[in-house]
Amino acid sequence: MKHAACTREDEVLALVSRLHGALHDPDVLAHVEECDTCAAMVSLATALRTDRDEMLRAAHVPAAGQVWWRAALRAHADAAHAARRPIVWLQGIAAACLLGVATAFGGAVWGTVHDGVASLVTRAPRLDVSVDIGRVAGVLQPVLPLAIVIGVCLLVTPVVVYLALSDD
Amino acid sequence: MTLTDIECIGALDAAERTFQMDEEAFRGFYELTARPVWVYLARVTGDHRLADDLLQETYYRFLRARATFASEDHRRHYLFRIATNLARDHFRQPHATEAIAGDVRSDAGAAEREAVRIDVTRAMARLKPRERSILWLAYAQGWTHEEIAASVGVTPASLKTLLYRARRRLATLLQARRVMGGRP
Repeated sequence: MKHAACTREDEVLALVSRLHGALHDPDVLAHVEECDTCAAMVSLATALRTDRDEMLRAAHVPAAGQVWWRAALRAHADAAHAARRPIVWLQGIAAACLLGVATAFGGAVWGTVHDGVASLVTRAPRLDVSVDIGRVAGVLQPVLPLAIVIGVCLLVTPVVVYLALSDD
Repeated sequence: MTLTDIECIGALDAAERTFQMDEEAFRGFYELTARPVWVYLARVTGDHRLADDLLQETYYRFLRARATFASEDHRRHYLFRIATNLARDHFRQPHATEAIAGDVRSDAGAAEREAVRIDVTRAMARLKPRERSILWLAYAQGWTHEEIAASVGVTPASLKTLLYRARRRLATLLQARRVMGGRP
């Protein structure tokens, strides 16, 4: 985009900046009278500088010590958070390992489970539950520890994963 | 978060080690720069409370920065660059709201200056954040094109065009409000 630039724009702006809007140099003043670009710029710069001076007078900023103190506490909190991050990762890895071991164990004993269930299904028609509880317990006994292990894993794993991945 | 006194002292000691300057040097630098930076943030965001928050964040990031400065001007420009980036990031957030026209914290000043200030506030509120930024740095802060370009992350050549467009927009808005009535 082409725009109506003036070669003396920087010079005029520097004077406006230095003199807070007042132009005393007759040469620059004469130029601004003739140059629309510079005249518009001076008017605008004067308005913005007036606004800035008023705002600077009215501005209420916190004390330096307060800003420093807050920054120090923030730095402390950030450092603590950064130090916690590897621990969180380790917990996550541990949870993943636990899940892996549980899965591997489940796979290894799957054959036993399968045989136990098949045996149960085979014997089921011949069972007289109301009469022989001991016999039923005998049938379930081989698969009971495995069921307990899997149940515990299913309960504990989500809790461990949640604790590992939550920041707070 | 609650800290014991010992933890607080430890935090301050740690800060001394983490920050790029000590507290004494910071106080001097802050006294010189805090008001101009706050005014800049207030003008760019149009929200004084947000400017308060961003001011704190600006100095925090400044203190944590691992930068070396060739001069005090360089250090000051770096601070404004952080403020510019924070304001820009704010407006990139989906929930960010534009400035409220007429949100002015006023003293009992001259009526004419106050009127100019209100008009500038309202006109600036209708500009884009980047336009506010470059106009303020150029005409209120008196920075050179190169300094502004470095601060807002554009080339000096692009900056001239952007500045010209922004100036025309603001001039149109202010003329509509009769702030730019006459020549100096």
